[in-house]
Amino acid sequence: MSSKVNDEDRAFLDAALPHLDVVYRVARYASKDHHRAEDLVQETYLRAYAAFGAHRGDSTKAWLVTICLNLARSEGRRRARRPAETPLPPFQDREAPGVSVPEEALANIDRGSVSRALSRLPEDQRLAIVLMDLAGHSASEVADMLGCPRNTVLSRVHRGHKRLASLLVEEDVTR
Amino acid sequence: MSCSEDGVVAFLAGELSEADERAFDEHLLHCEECWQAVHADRAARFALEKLRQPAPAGLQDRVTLAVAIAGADAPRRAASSGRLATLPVRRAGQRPVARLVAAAGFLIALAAGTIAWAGTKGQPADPPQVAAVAAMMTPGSSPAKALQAGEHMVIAGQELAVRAYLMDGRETIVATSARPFSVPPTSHVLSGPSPKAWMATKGRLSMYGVNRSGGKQSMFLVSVMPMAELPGVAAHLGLI
Repeated sequence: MSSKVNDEDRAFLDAALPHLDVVYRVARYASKDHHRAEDLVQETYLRAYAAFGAHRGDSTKAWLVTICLNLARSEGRRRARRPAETPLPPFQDREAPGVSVPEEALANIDRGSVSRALSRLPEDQRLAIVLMDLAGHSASEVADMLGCPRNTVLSRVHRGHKRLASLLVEEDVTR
Repeated sequence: MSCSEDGVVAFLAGELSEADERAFDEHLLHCEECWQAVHADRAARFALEKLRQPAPAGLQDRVTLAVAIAGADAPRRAASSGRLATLPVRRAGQRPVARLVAAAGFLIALAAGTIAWAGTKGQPADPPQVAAVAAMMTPGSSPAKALQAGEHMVIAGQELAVRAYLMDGRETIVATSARPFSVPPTSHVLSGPSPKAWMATKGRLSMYGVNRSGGKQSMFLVSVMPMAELPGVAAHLGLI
């Protein structure tokens, strides 16, 4: 006799699947390995499923995103121990200069350009932006996830935004 | 009001008091640096909207399948340890193309009602289409050319196309048909977004299928690999 997905599976899927888009965005942009995003999402859901019985949090979305972030970091550490692969262009960790952002430069910017610019931000700024702008978390939630003060999150997001705008203008100029 | 990053951040976060916000608005009219900082921040937010895309089609099926496998596989493994059937293993020297002959023989025997899965006594028989495709597996060998190219056949009155892939050195066979496949009686039916998706294990084999209606292609795949790896393979082949 065929069996249906059991009640426990169903309860988990009902709670977790509505956040699939958000978890995917975090997986896609939190780490630099964009190609592994779908594997990372699957791994996130399997870890979450295994721990679902103990999940008592108010926000399933934040819980899933935290699992995804931890997995991405573990993956990043594993990769860091390997010999370098293709190095990204060096990023100078300097304060983004004041940049005049032409409206027309951003009106026609494509998703790939934004994605590339985001990947060039320092990790702390990129993570804060991904969690707030792409995952829709509040600054307080992100502060909890990253273990830093809320004001630090807001500063990272703002600096990241300025740097991102600068990178997008540079890309538009050189295109 | 003087220039400070904290002031810009608080303004952008909407955390200034009404009076401070008015003062900051006034400040922006005269301070190029703060104006640019606010403008760049808003422009970046606007650009980032482009990255708020949904998850790829099929990812929800893949996750649903993976969760169902995780839920079903462990207890099933524990309960049936050592008792599941093992499929016929390719004999040394047997040529891969011989699997088609073997499958034909299997079907004749099936039609005569004289065959059951070796070692599956007590388990209900699989539908003939599923059983025949599974019988084409020769674990550890390269797929036959005919199967790589796509073999068309009629099994128990149902037309289907069978194609074989080598995934990480392991053979995976995919069968497609314009008609839904009969679901194996021991399968686990998934109630995800894909209608009538199912999974089953038989010895070393893992199977995953999706039945679609309205003339759309139904399919199932058979592979010698742990169930947990099947969602990734199905996604790689574009089946989910």
